[in-house]
Amino acid sequence: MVGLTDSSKTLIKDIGTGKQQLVEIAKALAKNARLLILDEPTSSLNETDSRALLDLMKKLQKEQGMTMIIISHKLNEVSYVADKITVVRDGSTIETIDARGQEISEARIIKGMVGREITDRFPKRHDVPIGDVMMEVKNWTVFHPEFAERKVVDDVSINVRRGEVVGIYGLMGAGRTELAMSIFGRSYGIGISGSLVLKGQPVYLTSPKQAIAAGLAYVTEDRKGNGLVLSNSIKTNTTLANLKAISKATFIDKDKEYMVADEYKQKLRTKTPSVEQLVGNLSGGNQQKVLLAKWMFADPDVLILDEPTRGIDVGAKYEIYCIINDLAKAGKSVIMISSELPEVIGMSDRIYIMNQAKIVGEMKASEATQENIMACIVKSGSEA
Amino acid sequence: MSGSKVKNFLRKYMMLIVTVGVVFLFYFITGGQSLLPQNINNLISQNAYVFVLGTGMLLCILTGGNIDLSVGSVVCLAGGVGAIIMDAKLPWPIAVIAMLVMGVLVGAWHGFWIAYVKVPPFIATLVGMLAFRGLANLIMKGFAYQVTDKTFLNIFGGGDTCYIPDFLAGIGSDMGLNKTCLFAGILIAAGYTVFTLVNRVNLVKKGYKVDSMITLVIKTGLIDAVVVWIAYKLAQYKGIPTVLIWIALVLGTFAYITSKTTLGRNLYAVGGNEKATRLSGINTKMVMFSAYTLMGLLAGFAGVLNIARLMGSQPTYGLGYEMDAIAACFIGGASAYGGTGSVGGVIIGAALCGIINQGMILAHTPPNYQTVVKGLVLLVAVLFDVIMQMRRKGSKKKKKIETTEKGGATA
Repeated sequence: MVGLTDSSKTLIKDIGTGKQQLVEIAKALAKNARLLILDEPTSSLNETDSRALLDLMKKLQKEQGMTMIIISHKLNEVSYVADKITVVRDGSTIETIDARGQEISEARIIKGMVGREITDRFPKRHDVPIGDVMMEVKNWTVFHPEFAERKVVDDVSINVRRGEVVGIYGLMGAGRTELAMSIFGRSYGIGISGSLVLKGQPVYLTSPKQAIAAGLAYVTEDRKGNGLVLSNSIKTNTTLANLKAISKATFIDKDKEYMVADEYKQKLRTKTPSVEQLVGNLSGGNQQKVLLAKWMFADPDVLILDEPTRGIDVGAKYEIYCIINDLAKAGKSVIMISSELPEVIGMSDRIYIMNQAKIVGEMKASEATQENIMACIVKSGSEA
Repeated sequence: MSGSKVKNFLRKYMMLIVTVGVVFLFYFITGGQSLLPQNINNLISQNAYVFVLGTGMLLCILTGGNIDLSVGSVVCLAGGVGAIIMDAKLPWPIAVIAMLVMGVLVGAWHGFWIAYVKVPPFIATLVGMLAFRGLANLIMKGFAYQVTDKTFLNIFGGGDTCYIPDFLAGIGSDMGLNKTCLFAGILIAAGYTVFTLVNRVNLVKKGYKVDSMITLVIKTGLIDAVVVWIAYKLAQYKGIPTVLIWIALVLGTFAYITSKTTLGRNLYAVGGNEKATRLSGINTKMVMFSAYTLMGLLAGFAGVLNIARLMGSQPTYGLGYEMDAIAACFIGGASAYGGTGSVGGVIIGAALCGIINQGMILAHTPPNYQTVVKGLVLLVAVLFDVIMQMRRKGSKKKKKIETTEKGGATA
């Protein structure tokens, strides 16, 4: 019903977060509820699955008269499925828009959310020169760690230049995270083959430690699971990936550490009373900033950002985009993995499209539209 | 605001308050006996191993609530090795080194299985608990060994003369006190006060947020008072037990390691989120391995103190020590899930255990009741942690909303 294809006996821990979400929804549906409250039901679903879920909601409403409340960051979903839209900000309801019989534009909702209209959801980068190739991945193939015959990344070749933001768009399960993590010191998958060239030098990285030393950073999509130590302070999280820089031999220079953390707090405009605050107490957007701070402090040449704006509000998203632009301006290479089409098109210089473990298309952002990107995916799907 | 301040204060100092309460409780139950100088002295020397092992155990618990069940056996094994070496009339430094090396080897053995082969710590150290107890029996052939080396006993605090000699005895009038001890206590308190003040001035200069002056004065004053009071009590007996110096050394070193070095930082990070730590380029296996190796080292050292205090070694020594160490950590606020806890907590936990133990003995509580009470104390301590955690989760949600609000408002 929710579009799961796995065997019903598969253990939950062996399927991805996206599929786990589907199971969660199926569980809720199985209870024959009269009122269904969905809190960010699609935050980890790909576009097709999201659409299927939304259509399912419409069906349930029409056929069973079920009442549903959907809480979401994704404006297009809300305007697609909802009869009434209530905007909540600062702990109180701002307005309720009746959406029946009229098309509500996203700009209209955003206006309610931030109190003013954001004319430009993606800040522009001006005059950022794009330099030499910084990192090149050739014929990269990765196998699944549990099902050794399954290729999760299949003969992928990509490159990124200095000062460039490269988007990798793909649906959930296309192998984007697997690609990124396998590049980042082989922290995912088995039987990895292919070559990695950094600044013209072939390198062979076998651990995250080596990858960081070589100038790579991987900002995970799963910030609570793989990114942050929630029980530690902002300060210690910020410096975790580069403790060397603030310590002599093994002794940590606490003043330097505090200054570094405070500097990044101000630079990234992290909203917190103090850097001694536990990361677990922060909101999603601020946690994401701490995660970015950590990797910026590691001073990499190439940053791989995996879904950098997942599950955070519009205002914080905009700030994250500004940070990405600053990184490019500083001559870093940024690879941005995302399953939000407008974001990929709005932020990237160049876009790779990934589907079913393969790169199925590459285009300049100026030529990219939602339609031709989706066309790439549909075409590759029908060929397979 | 003031309500949450009180809550914060309670959360932070609850165990300390409980400890003080327990001290007074036993003071009244035993009619003042529990605070006699000799009993305070015994409290320290009899519980030395809890402080040392608790510190090691803290390192393991920090990495994710992992415990080491083998320490009691390792104390016995290391002690046996040392006693046999000294029995063979070899110099005592060789024995001490052998005991420490023994501890490190055992720790590395556990660390290897746990960190690199991924054997669950509970199982790996249960194996150690059984195997090393057996090994200790084997090498001692089931016999007890006497330790008679006077220098060794003096240095590590055994026998009758295990006190720092009173260098100042000749000066001034005889007050029936060990003046060195009292002087040392006053010196430490004064040093601590100066250090705190200088530290505060520095912090203010660098623009940190600091506690208000009143809090600082109260805190420092209380700590000074306790230090001087303990010194005074010890001075009324025989002075500073040598073992106290060793405890202070171990606690100080490991307090420094856990709070100010990269290894310490990594221990907390691994316990908080192992995957994130690994992806931050930290060799998490090495961190686990180090934790267990240091635990081994400290178990070896506890073995040294143990045979010095008991002036010999027997195959039954160290039984149940692991439980005391684990209890000290949890009572001292270490989280059973890893990532939080401190050496300061271990000090309080170990002291509280010791005080309850001794108080019950002095109050002539039947032994079977004593263990029941000890068990209940541990449960209450952990319950307290769990409830605080739940409360915090509740307030965290509130806080989270507040921060998003602020985020939304400025965006």
